[in-house]
Amino acid sequence: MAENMLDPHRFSRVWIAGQKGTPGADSTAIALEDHEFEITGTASSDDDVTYDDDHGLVLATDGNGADQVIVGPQTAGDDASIFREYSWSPENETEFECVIRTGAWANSVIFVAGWNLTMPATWVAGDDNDRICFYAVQGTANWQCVVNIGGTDHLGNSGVIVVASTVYHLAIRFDSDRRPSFYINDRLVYVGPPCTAGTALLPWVMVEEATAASKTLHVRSIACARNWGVN
Amino acid sequence: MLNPHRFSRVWQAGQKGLAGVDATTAQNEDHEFEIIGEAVSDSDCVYDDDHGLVLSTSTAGDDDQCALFPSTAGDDCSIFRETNWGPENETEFECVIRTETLADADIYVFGLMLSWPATYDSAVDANQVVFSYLHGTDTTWQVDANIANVDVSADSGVLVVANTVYHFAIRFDKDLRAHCFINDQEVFVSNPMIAGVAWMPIVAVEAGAGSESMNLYVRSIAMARNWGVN
Repeated sequence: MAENMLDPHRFSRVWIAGQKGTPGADSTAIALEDHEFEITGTASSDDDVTYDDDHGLVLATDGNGADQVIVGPQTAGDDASIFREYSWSPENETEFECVIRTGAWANSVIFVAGWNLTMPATWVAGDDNDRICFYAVQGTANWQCVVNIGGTDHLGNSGVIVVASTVYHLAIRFDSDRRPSFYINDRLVYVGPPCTAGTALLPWVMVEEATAASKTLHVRSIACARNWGVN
Repeated sequence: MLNPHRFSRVWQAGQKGLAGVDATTAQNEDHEFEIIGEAVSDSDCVYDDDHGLVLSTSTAGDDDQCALFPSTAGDDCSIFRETNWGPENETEFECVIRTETLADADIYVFGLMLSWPATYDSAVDANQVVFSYLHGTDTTWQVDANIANVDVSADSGVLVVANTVYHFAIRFDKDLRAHCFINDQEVFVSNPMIAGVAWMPIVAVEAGAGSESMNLYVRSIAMARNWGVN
């Protein structure tokens, strides 16, 4: 028998940065912009995302002192992004992956990647009711893992150093007990407690400046996977 | 990365937005498939959190339909229409769907057809290979294989159950015979089909009563074939 093209029980979606144009502030406004992800964040605008010849898309903050560029699924109700319209809650052995490349590691810059309900105007690890993601704040040497469950925060130090201009493959995989396992470059660095079923998590990647100097982050790809609903 | 002799295309439901009645009018809608059928409208296709896209029939009258079919001829934006899917290329069709409540004379149809009729009839298409189910008449999935107006309907023996996921596949061998599979189990082999038949993938639902809005969940559709030989 020929090999199946389709898997009836699980699906995944890989987004290669730039494959359908750059994400803009409104993914429905411009035909040639990406329709799966758009950018949000303090002072973000269409010109904050550009192609880099060798490293994917570049997110660049404006440099006013507290600006952000956040790549996340398009707005609710746009009905065009699988990354928003399907549930990515933990009970489906859901997985998140992204490949990013850090920019300058200075001036208290912040990088964030993973599952969040919403993204704040100023990043604070513990301010979301449910959040399962990586973050790095310059001044603290390593990638950190945060698991917020119903407002209770669990923090883990990955032990992996953040280095400027370096590629990282970040992954968060929920097991059948809804525990998130955090991987950096294929190495398991933290396992969180069981998360809440039915939480409408979304994949996000962010850069935030902390001084009046533009900061950058390269995004190469984002992927999500989950089991389909069971009958 | 590329295969010079064969290609496949997997369509994941919702990956490019919802399917609408005209794949070319809304930039945020899917451009490969659109929805057609009796009393169909854009609102008949929505996302479901856990099961893909939901196709729903309206309640305008009997026989309302919602069928996913490649974008209209001339739109030039769907590989599922613009490429020949005739059986001579060891063509394959697959889809993953989920049934919902079964009632009245509801009909499900999945497979390869030339066109979609206003009321489904297993003998209406001159050439087709589809899986079908007519509630109240069938208890199992049927295979309707029409070859130049010679119609064969075969019983797959596989029960149709509400709220259940099914994986359907039709795979043509080099002798143009259609091998039909449900959940990886071979349920029927046809006589040789006609080379060059311009059929296309279809996933369709038709309600059996005017007051009923019938649902079908679509997770994915895939096609594969050999490229032309030199």
